[in-house]
Amino acid sequence: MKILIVDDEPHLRMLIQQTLEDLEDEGVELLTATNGEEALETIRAEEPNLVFLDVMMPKKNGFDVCDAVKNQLGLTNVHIILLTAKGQEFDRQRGQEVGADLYMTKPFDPDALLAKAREVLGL
Amino acid sequence: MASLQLKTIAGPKGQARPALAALIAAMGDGVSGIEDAAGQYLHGGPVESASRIAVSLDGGTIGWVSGTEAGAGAMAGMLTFLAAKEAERRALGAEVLHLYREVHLIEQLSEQLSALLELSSVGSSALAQARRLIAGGHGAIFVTEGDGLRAIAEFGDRIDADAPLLGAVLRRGVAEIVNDVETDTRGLVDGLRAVICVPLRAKQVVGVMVLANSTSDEAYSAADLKLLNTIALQTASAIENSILCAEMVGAVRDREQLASIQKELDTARTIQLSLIPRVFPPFPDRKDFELHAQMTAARSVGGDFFDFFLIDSEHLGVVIGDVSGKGIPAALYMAVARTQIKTTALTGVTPEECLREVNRGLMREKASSLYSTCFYGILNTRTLEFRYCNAGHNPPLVVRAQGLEHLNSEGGLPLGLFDGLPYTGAMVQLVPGDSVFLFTDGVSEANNLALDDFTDERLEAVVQSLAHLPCEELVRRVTEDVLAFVDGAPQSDDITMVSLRVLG
Repeated sequence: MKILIVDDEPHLRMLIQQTLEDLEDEGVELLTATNGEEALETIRAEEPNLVFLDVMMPKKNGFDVCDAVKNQLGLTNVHIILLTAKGQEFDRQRGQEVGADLYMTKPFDPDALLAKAREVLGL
Repeated sequence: MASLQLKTIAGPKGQARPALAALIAAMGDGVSGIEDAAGQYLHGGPVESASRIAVSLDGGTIGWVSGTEAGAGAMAGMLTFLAAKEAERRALGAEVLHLYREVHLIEQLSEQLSALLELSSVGSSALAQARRLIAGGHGAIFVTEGDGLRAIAEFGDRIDADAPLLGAVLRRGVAEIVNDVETDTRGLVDGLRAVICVPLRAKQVVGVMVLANSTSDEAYSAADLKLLNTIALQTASAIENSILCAEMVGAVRDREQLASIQKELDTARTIQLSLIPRVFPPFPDRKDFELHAQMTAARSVGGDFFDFFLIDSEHLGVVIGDVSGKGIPAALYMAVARTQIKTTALTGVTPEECLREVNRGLMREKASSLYSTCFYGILNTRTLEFRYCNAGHNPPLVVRAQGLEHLNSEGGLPLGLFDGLPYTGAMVQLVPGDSVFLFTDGVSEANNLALDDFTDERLEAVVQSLAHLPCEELVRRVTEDVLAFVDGAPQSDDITMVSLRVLG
C-alpha cells in the first residue's frame, strides 16, 4: 500500500511523513511530491491508495490535480484528502466538483491525520 | 519511532535508487549484492566467495553489501553513512513533530478555553490537554478561595489542597519540579514520586496546576515545565474570565432583584397615593371655606398623609400626619392610621378624644416600632371655631390679616409610641379670610445640594408673602419655592402641605 504526500513546503512534507512513519512498519510505502505536476506523474505511475494533497501550490494546484486524477484519469479508487490552510477560505463546492474525498485543515492534528490514514487503508 | 530499514535508503527490492544504481554499475564487479537485515536481496544476488560486509546503524546491523572486499567495503561504508544521516533526519523530524503536536494542542486548548465560561469545564479541558502533552498519572487544578485552595478539576489520586508545596508555588508565583518527593519535606501524597507544579498567573496568581507520577523513572524535565507553564498561562486567563463572568452574572441577578423590589415599592407608592384625597376642590358646593392640598412624593415610599372630611354639615375635619420610617412598612402603617383616624373622627368625637382613641387602637395592634405624628383639627363652619389636637406634628400656621400665628399646643406625643397617653385639645377662633396652613417636616427640612434646610423661618416668610392668594395657588407657589430652593438635590422625604381658608 502506498501513501503519497504532496506539499510544496518541505517542513510540512516532513511532518506528515513523520506522522505516518509508524505505518511503514505495517508495509505502507510513503511517497512524496513537491508540486502538482510531480504529484500527477507519481499518481499515474504508482497509483497510491491515499493522497494527502495540498491545495495551494505553484504550477498545478490541488484542485487541478484532483480533477485530473478523478475525472480525467478516472482513478476514482485513489482516495484524495485535500489539505487547506486554516483561515483560508475553502471552496467546498469546488472540492466536491473535483471529486475530493475529504478535506483537512493545516495546522493538522497529527493523531487525527494518522487515524484517517489507517481508516482509509483499513489498517 | 519506527526502525530504519535499509530499503528506505537503498530503495525496495529490484528498484535501487537511481543514483545508487548508477554507482553500482560504475563499480562493475565491486558490488554484487545488497541484502537487508532479514537476508533478502534488495539488489543483485549471491556470488561465490564474495566478501560480505555489514551496513550498521547505532551498533546494530541493518544489512550487508557483498562483492570485492574494496567495493563492498566502500558501498557498506557509504550506506552506513547514509543510514546515520537518515536516522538523524528522522530524529529531528520526530522532535519537530513533537513540537508541532504541542503547538497544535495548545492552539486547540486556547480555542476550547475561549468558548468555556464555567470554571470546572475550563479546569477539566486544561487538565485533559496537559495530560496529552505531559506524562502524569495524577493531576489537579486548584483555584484560590479565601485563604486556601479549591480543586476545580482532578484525575488520579487526590492531591491534598493543603500540601505545603502548592502553597509555596502559589505564594512565590514560581513553578517547581520535585523529582524526589520522598526526600522533599513538603511532600504531597503518599506514593507520588515526581511532581510538577506551576502557578496559574493572569493579572494575578489565581491558583496552581499540578501533575504527578507514581514512579520515579517518570521524572519531569525542564521542557515539561516550560510546556505546563504555557498551558497554565492560557488556563489562568480563562479562569480569571470565568470568575469575572460569574461575578457579572451575580451582579446582574442582584440588579434584577433590586429592580423587582423597586417595582414593588413603586406599586406600594401608587397604592399609598391613591389613599389620599386627589379631587380638588374636595367640596365644590361649599362656598364658606376653600381647601387645597398637595403632596410631592419622594422617589422612595414616604409616610406623609393628609385627609379631610365633613363630619356633618357644620363640621369639617382636617388631618395631616407623617409616619416614621419609609418603604412598604411605613405605607402600610399610614394606611392603617389614616383609616382609624377617619373612622374615629366620623363618630363626632373631639380631636383629642379621636387621637387618644387612635393611639390606643394602634398600640393594641402594634407589630412594629413605627409611629406617626398627626395633627387633627375640626372647623365649625358656622362659628369658625377651629378645635385641634397635635400629636407631635409640626405646628400649623394661622395666616391672618395682621400676621402669622403658630398653632402651638402640647397636644401629645406621636401616635403609636406608648399606650394610655393623654392628649389635650385646644381651640382657635378664626375670622373670615383667615387660613390655616398645615405642612410636614418634608417642607421645612427640604435639603438643597449643600444640605441646608429650607427652615421654618423661610417657610413662614414665603407663606406670609403669598397669604393673599387663593389656597390652590398658595400651595402651588410655596411648593415651587421649596423645589427652587432644593434645586435638583435628591428628595428624601415627601413634601406635603394643606391650606384651609374660611370665607365666612
